[in-house]
Order: sequence, then structure tokens, then C-alpha cells
Amino acid sequence: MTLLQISEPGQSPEPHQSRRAVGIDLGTTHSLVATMIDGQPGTIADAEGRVLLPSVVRYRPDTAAIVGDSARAAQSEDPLNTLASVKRLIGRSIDELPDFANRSHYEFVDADSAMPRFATVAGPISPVQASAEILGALARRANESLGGDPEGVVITVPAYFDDAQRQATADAARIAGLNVLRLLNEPTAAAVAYGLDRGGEGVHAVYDLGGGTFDVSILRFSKGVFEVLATAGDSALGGDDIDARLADWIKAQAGLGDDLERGLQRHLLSLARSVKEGLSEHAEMDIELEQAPQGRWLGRITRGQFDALISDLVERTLSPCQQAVNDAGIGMDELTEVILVGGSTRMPLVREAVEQFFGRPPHVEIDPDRVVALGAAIQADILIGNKPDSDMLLLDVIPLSLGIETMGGLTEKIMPRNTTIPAVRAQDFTTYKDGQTGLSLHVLQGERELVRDNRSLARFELKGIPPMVAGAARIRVTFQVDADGLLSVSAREQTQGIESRIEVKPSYGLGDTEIEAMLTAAMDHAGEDMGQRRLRELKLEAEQAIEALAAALSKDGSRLLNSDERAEIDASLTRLQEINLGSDEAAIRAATEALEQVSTVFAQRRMDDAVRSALAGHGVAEFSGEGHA
Amino acid sequence: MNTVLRQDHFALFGLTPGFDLDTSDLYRRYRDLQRTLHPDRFVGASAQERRLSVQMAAQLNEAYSILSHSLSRARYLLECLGLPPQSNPKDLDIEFLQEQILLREEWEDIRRMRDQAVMAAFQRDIKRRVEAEETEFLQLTANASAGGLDPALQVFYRMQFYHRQLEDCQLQHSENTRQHDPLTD
Repeated sequence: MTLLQISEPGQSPEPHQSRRAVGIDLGTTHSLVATMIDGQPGTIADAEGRVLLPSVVRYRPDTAAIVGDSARAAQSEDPLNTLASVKRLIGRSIDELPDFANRSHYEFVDADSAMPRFATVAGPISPVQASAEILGALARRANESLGGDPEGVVITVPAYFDDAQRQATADAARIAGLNVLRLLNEPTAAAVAYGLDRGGEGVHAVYDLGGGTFDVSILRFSKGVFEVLATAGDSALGGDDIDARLADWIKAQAGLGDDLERGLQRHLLSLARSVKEGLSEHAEMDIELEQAPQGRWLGRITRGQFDALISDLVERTLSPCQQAVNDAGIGMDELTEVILVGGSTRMPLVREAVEQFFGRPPHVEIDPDRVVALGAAIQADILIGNKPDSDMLLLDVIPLSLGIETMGGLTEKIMPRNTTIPAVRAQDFTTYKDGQTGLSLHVLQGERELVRDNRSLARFELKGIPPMVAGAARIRVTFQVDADGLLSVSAREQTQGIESRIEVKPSYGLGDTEIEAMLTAAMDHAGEDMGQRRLRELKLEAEQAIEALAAALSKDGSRLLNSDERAEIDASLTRLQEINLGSDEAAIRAATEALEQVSTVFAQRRMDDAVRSALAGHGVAEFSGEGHA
Repeated sequence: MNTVLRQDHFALFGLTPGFDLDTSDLYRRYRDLQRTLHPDRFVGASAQERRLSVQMAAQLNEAYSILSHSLSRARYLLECLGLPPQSNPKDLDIEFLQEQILLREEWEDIRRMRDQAVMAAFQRDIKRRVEAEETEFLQLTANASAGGLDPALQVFYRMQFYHRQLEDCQLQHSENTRQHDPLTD
């Protein structure tokens, strides 16, 4: 580990070196990784030249899981241990997805529990762990191609993912040992890839139909800023549902009953998938099934038949489109372009429906399977600091309203859907009984009025409210959503200043101890030690704190600090550098915190200074005392 | 707490409090501030700068969403002037209450008629009323003497009512013009 020297005022920091940053599209059907190569985003292929990694994980006893093509090839022969489409379950419970459970050939451990786990030969596996395997496989691919582990990743998620699904994805990345720079919405990533490619200013609709999720976003792109005006979708609708519909049709045509053995059921889905893909190119397809009751079955389906079979599914995407257009407050005629994303948009019926709905032919110039990963790579490159002069900015929104349960099982919205993030919103509540000392808060996400129709994210209790008459206490509940779209909630009794703060951990996700257990399991496999990893992460954190502060000092230290303040920070910085050479966890943590403490004023002055310089080009009102135009 | 989190929404943008505001100028200020403060600019920064950035960018989004719409701007201005509008105002003047009832009746008739031209004319009329109220609100709050504010509150309630009426019009409009499904036609 090299330590940065503290730069003297006026001296420039270390010469700029490009850092390894990648964008990962963690998809339902397949996943891929991209990076910037000579100023252009490009996908990274494996040793055999394959870009798309099937999102399929096969577990075997006493050996590492297999991810990708060979896992997919084993689906029919080993259906129980080969997990596909786990993205549909991430951050959810089985009873939320009746379709998945009904047609699933998997076995679950405690199917009733909040967190579904697949029963496999390697033990119970959660969708979070299986996703971590996929992320790990992509990180290894990036490592081989870039000559080292990625230093930061941007992972894309469907725009319509709720807080639990986002949190679960972030947990998967943590288990895979990745440094997540940002969770980025898939349609926004696609718009970035298109926007920068074409320089297209204006208002765009992105229609993203993937393997398991549907999103539509309306964005304005102007002077480097991508501003999401509205987003809508369905996080359980995609190519998988179309495959299942076609598989059912084949099953009926071939005279198969409903009670099929797992391997055949899995085989039917794969067969349906290839027939579906064929129908995007051809007007009709022959279907051959060896395992029909009378032996080999030969059939044929025309595109017209197929379209009739799936039209209601395609139709289901149109009402979110209407909602997004309404919420964006724009007219159809104000749209500049419509962009298609996701493998399922290859189907002619989908293209026709989109064209008719938006009244213009959609754009498909960039491969709909790759465009999201390419956009994520562009954003990763900027976030990690490889492009200090870039003025690109993404302003995204929350897809679903956030609220609190009130009396009578009703949901009170605190932050409406399509609020720009990061966002903060506070609301005051009071006690309803004399002498009430606790207040339970139930955090919800969704648009419905009744609590039971919305997603329950967390429950927590503010305790120790001083006894007062009913209605006298003033309890301020603050919702904060960060740039990853992740929520934290805090509550404070205003009159006495009692605070109870929680980071909302969604009920259907994992608790910290469960994540810890999965981390340990993942590292056991990799022959790593938990303690070593924790120490390494701590040291890295300290190193980053040193590096960040040294850079800030060399830029603004002499301007914003007097010599006493500077000396105090320098001393604290030197101390952390020294302690970080050793391996005393507690001491490193304490010294990192001390450095933070001592440089708080500096951080605030730098922020104020940034505000001043951002407004420098604009007229500034005299009263603010910051000078004027 | 730093300056931004302490400031009122207008000062955050370097503006003097007032109802009269150029929204495209506000947007440009918002954009330039967000380019500077957004968490995407602080990924490699120290932990407390990252935290500050989230708080400030959130504050900025909140301030922008309030100031960029005339009704929420008016409400915020009244709050700043110490006269927060009530959610169920009790002291509305009687003529306005009567006008509300008449307008709602007219609206119900128009809604049933489903005549686009009549609906559009009604909507234009409401928009004109909103503009007139906004002009009055601007005058009353510009010379914010203590005596001018009570009338401003009354004007606000009228603006609020007309805005809700406009929302209803728009909702109805998008329902009426909702495209027939290309797949089921």
C-alpha cells in the first residue's frame, strides 16, 4: 500500500491515473459487463468471445458454483440445482410472485418465510447469494480483461425496483466484494448511452422490456443533464412470461398434461424461448419435441398465432407508458425520440405496439441487449473520477411513493412517486393517547390507499417520548432517499429532542447478521478469512479518507483554512497515516473518525464555496451578503 | 450546519424572496448548483463531504420543486411571511364560497357532456382566473405591509381552488383522449 504525501499548498496532487471502473447489467436472463476503452464504452467478452453471460447459476456439492453457459446447458438435466431468473425473486417473497411459484420447478426451503431460499445440493441458497455469484463471475471477467479487479462498479437495476429490491441488489454486490459506485436505473443508463452517442437533446421515452421486468422512463436531456421526469413499469413482467405462455401452448398442442417432471418443464421453457427468438426473424417456426406422450411431436406456429397468444402481455406494458407520459406532464408531440431497450423488444409485436402508442418509429441503433451496460460503463468512468471535466449529470426519481401507516390501516404518503433524488421530506405526527411514550412507525412503499395493498418496508418504534397529553408531542419523521434510491428513515420528538434513527432494512431482504453469514460462506469458498477482509476494508477506507482529504487540502487548504486549523488537520492526517500502517482495527477506526471530526468545518466551507462558485455566473441577490452581479 | 441547509429556498438560489420569478433562470441556477453539489461529484470524497452532498442536493431538489411551481411558491412565500395557509381554511369569504359551488356545478355538467370544445373553453377560463389571481398575489406580496397579507392569503385560497380545478380538467382530458389500445382495436 502506498501512502500519499500530503501536498503542500499550490502543489498538484499525484498525476492523474485512469482507474478500473465497470458497468454491470445484472439481468433476469443474462448479464454483462462493460468498460471504457479508448474513450468509448465497450462490452467485455469472456475467453471464448461471448459477451452475454446467461444469468444461470448451477450449484454442486463441495465445489464452487458454475455461472453462465455451462450452467444453462445443465438446466434440463439438473433442474433443482440450476437457478435461472433469480432477479425476479430478489428482495421479494414467494407469495408476491404467484406466477413464478406456480410454474417454478424449484424447491424452496421455508416457502412461507419472508426470504425465499432454493433447496440445492449446496444447501439453501437465497436469490441474493445467486446474484452475488453472477456479479462475481462478471468481476472475474473484468479482472482478466483489465489486468486487475475493478476498483468501482455501477450496477443497473430496473427503474421500477422498490426499496427492498434495490437493497437486496446492493447486498448481493457486497457479498461479491464489489465497491458499488452507484445503483443506476436501467432506462437512464440506456439514455446515457444513446444521448452521448447521438448528442440528442430533447425529451426521450425509454421503453425497456427485459427478461423479467418492464420499465418506461421519460427523460429530458439538455446540456449534459439527464433529468428523469417520470418512470413507471412492472417489476414482474418480461420475456419469461412470454416463454411460459408459449410453453403452455406447446404443452397443450403436444398433448402433455400439467404434471410434468421438472427436467421436461425446464426443457419446454428453453424450447419456447428459442421458438420465440426464431419468430422475431421468421414468419413461422417448426417445433420439435421428443418427449411427447406419443413419442416425437412435430408442430408449427405462425407469428400471427404467437402474437395472439401474447398480445395481452404486450398490452400490459401500455398503461405504464400512459401513466409515465401523464406524470411527466408532457404531450406526446413533445417527445423527441423513443428508445427500445431489452432483448424482448426484438419481438415485432412489441415494436408495433410501441410505434402505435407513441406515434413514431422507435430507435434501435444500439444493441438492446448491450445498451444498458454501455451506459453504466460511461457513468462508472465518470463517478470513479476518470473524467474530472465531464459535466454530465443524472437526476433520477423514485418510482413509487413512500409513506407511513396511519390510523385505520391507511397509508399517508410522505414522498410522492417521481420525486427527484436525492430527496428529503419530513412530516410531523403526534401521540393519540395521554401519556403515550412510544410511537410505532410502519414504512410503506406504493400508490394504494390501504396499507395491506402496499409494500411493507420496515417497522420501527420511537421510544422514550416524555409523557404528555394526547396530541402535545410533535414527532418529526424524516425520509431521506440517497442517489442510489435507497431510503433511510429517522424520527425525532421535537419538543424534547429524542431521536431514534434507523436505516430502513426492508422486511423481505436480509438482516445484517444474515448478510454477515453469507459473506462468511462466500469467503470460505474463496479460502478467505473474514477478519482479514474486514481489516482490509477498514484500511482501504482509511486510505480513501486520507487521499480525499489530501486532495481537498491541496486544492482549497490555503484558501479556506487558517494556519491553526490547517495544523490541526495535518496532525490528525499524519496520525491516521501512521496508524494505518499497522493492523489495530480499533485504532484505525478511531483515527479515521478523529480525522473526520477535525475536518468537518473544512468540508462545510468547501461546500459553501462550491455553492458560491456555481452561482458566480448568475446574478446574486444583495441581501445574501455573498456579493452581487 | 452549513450555510445551504440554513438558508431559505430563495437564498439557496441566490434570489430575493418574492412571487415574481423567472422559472427558466431558476432552472439554470438549479442545474449549475446540482452539477456542483450532486453526490455523483463526491464519490471519491471524504465521508462527511459525501453526507453533506446528499443533504444539500436533496435540499436543492426540494427547494426547486417548491419554487418552480407558482402555487407551491405562493404557499412557501406565505409561510416565510409568517402566514401559513391552513389545510381547511375557515375564514373564506362568502362570495368565493358561492363561486366555488357554481363552478363545481358547471364542471359537473361539462364533464357529463364530454364535449371537447366546451371543456377547452372552460379550461381557458380557469387559466385566465389563475393568471388574474397570480397578478393580484404578486402585487399584494410585493408591498408586504402587514395589512396586505391577509388579502394575499385569501387570494392564495382562490389560486389553490382554481389549480385543483385545472388538475381535474387535465385528468378528465387524458381519460377522454386515452389512446385506444392498438392491440385490441
